[in-house]
Amino acid sequence: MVEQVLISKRVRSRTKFSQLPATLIIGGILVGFLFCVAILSFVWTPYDPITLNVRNRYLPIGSEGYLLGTDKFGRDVLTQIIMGARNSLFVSVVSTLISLMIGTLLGLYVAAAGARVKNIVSRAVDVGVAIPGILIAMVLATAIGPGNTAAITAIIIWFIPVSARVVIGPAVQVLSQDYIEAAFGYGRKKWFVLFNHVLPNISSTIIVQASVMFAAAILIEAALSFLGVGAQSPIASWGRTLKEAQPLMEIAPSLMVVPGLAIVFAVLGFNLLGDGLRAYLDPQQTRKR
Amino acid sequence: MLTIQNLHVTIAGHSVAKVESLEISKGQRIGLVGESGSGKSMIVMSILGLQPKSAKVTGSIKFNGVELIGLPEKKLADIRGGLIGLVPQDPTKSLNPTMRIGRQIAEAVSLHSIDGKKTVNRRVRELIDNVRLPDPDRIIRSYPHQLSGGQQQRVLIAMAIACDPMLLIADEATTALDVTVQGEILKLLLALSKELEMGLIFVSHDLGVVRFVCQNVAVIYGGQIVEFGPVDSVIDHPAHRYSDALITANIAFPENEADVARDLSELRSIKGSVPAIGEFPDGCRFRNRCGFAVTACRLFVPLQQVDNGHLHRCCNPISYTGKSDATH
Amino acid sequence: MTQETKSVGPIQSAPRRFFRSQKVRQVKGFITQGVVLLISALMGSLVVFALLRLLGGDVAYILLGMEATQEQVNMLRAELGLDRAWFVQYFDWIKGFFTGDLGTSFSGSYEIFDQIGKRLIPTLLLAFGSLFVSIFLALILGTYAALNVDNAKGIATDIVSQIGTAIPAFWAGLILVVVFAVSLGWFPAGGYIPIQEDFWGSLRSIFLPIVALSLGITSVTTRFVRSAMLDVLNEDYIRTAMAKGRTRKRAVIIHGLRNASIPVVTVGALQLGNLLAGTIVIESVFVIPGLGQLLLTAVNGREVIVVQSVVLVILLIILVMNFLLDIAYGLLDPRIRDKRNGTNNG
Repeated sequence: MVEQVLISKRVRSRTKFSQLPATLIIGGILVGFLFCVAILSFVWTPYDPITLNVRNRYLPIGSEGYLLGTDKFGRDVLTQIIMGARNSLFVSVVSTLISLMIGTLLGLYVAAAGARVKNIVSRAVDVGVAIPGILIAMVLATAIGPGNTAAITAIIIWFIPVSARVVIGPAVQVLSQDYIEAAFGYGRKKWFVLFNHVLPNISSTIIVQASVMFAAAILIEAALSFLGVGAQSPIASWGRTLKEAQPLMEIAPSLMVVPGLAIVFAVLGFNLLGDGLRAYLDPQQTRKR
Repeated sequence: MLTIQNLHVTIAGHSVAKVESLEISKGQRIGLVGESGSGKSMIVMSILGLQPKSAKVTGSIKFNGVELIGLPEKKLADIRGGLIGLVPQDPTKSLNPTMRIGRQIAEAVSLHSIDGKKTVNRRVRELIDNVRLPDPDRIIRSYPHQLSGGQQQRVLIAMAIACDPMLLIADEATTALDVTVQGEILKLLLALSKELEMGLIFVSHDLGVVRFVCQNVAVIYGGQIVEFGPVDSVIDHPAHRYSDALITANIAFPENEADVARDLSELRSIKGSVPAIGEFPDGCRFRNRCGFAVTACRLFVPLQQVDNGHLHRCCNPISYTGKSDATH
Repeated sequence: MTQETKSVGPIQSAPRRFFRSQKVRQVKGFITQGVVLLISALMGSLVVFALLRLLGGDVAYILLGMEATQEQVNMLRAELGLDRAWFVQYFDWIKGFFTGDLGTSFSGSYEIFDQIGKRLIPTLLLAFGSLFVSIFLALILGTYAALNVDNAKGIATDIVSQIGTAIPAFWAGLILVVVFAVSLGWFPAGGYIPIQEDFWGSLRSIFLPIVALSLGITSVTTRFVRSAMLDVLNEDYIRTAMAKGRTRKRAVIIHGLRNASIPVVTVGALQLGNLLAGTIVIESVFVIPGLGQLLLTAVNGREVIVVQSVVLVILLIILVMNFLLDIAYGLLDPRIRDKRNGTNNG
């Protein structure tokens, strides 16, 4: 058994690039591209995202100087998309990371707690998972007003039960192992064991889950801005761009296509990355897929 | 009736089962004995085309003149159940957990007939009675998980004999049954074989049962038939070293003179363990575990040496005229 | 080796008594479930109420704007009932919710309960319609993908479903409107015709929204069905069915489908949140007068009571759907049924 583990570790460290799962590569490229674009936007964009340029409005895709055309205010669509990427990533990264931290702590705590606590929290988590994030966002938006803050907070609240749930199962399994008992017998305190023994063993699950959550956060951010509850003007957001394009359906249908495609690629990228990471980090879990 | 020739089953390039020749005629009952992993299940599954997807099957399996290997699925499906029945291993997993037993048995009946519901139901009850399951109403309405392992196994037997097949393949079909019920089921199978001329391939590791039911027995090791012959002849006077070791290891109490004649002073087990797929030595596959291997054993031992109906492939077989010496 | 003792005889009458008490247990089970449902809903309502009150600054102040005087704010607060103790407000609200009187909106333009009632049906139609369509399509596509897992058709289905999970419902809706409503004119671009008025027209008006909403849910569910089916394909009972004389395909469909549906129901329960979220968004795209639209306008108008109430209604819808899926789960898997009723024989 031990030899198997050692061998698999040795093999993995020498895995050739071509042996990585396809999903991982494609996902990695898409996500990497997205991050690069978002970071780039801090330094440079093709045009200024805010200034209006009404004379050049509704230019179609492929117009000279405006690769993806212009919107109803004459603003370059490509710039809007780039800025939208920045916003989407910002919202999804911040909300996912924060909720993962809180959820993981909560999950670890519950996994190590007594049966009663486990029971109650498990039920609460089950209920929590069923509540749609959009609903939470709208409640928050009523309270503190629409905008990215409401969106981020809502997504955090929405994701905490999800992350906790993902953590509790595997953590409980790890805690039932013999070497954990040994560690406790050796005098280690609970949180030491949780952080140094449990966490590393479930880290691959968490990483895969994080990728999926990034994807979900991007989708919900887009939906919220589409409804007008998310990022407010002048912050650019893919969702809001789509909303603005809706009444222009007949004049400039292309305005609707591009932001949507951007969302699809971003979400697809994170989903594929998650799948690829799962295949790569935990080959036992992947059957014939 | 069934002729297997040059059957070769490989998984990932490694040989899992190799049968040069095996024949079963109408009403003949053959036992297949061997350890787990000996390939006996793979051989019988290939007959019906139910081997795992990763396994490649070459050779010829002719059933009443029809070549089964490569037969289109629809035709094969007609033969399965209708002409050749299978009692699978592991009864707990072999029944659909969300379908009532009655319906599952009825499926076995109606797939190969055009009878109306009443006839089918009557046949289902008849089968339930044949396999000695009491309270047919309850059984018909039950789900698999509500039955014990032994009851499940009897249901599987009922399904396999539902259409009075010409050949029945029983893979460890009585292991979950307790002794009294086992006896009745074996008597049932014997009766079917004798009255309806049903051929029987009985896979088991229980030699007593094999002796009771079968006329001939094949000892399987490493996917090959290492010995074949009349059941009493093979069990009482095995020629191949592996057969001898297997039989000796299986005998708890001596049943007859031949058993007594064996040296049972110490609990015997076969040295080593069955090698994994692809790790058999060349030549005789048993030679690394055999206490009587000679140089000839390193060579490929393809043909079986004939000895009046009793075949084996040992280079240093046990002879019952004199003693043979151990080499180490 | 299991012992098999079959006792026949005096036990014959026991099954009758047994079944009757089993029914009683089932009914008791339902009632408990219902009560749990209500309690969950009430807890949810409490949380929503608390969130709005704690975080919500002063609604009256926001409604009146920056220049309002303290006196005006106080007057408005009293008028809207926002100056009472919070538990009074809470109980009043809950009472009104269940008795049918939630008062008028802050804007004064509509009766809250009335509006909720009117808008319930379109939302339910959209949500349930998409749920059924998605489950139905997912079972077919997932089985197809599993049966073809090692050839091009299966891989293509896999890729398509993967892309489908990345498409936002509202974008799908927009594209569908452009293509099928604006360009081709086959369906209306929006609006909703109540069933009572015009059956076929109603279906036409709800067709594109359901398609848009089902896209994402079907994709996710298809992937789960495929996975569950792949597990089923390797099960021994499929081999037994083939040994009886079924072809692989028929064995999988007849025996496998029901077994594979079991994990799908579990997944469906998890998708309910997405379903209702999508409903809200789709209502916006297709201008369907449902609860989602009401919620949206309420959010913009800081209509706290409306938001509370609509959220509670949606929570109840989700909980009820969950309950129904739970029943379906019991219907599909007899092992669970026995476990629940405590009748684990065998």
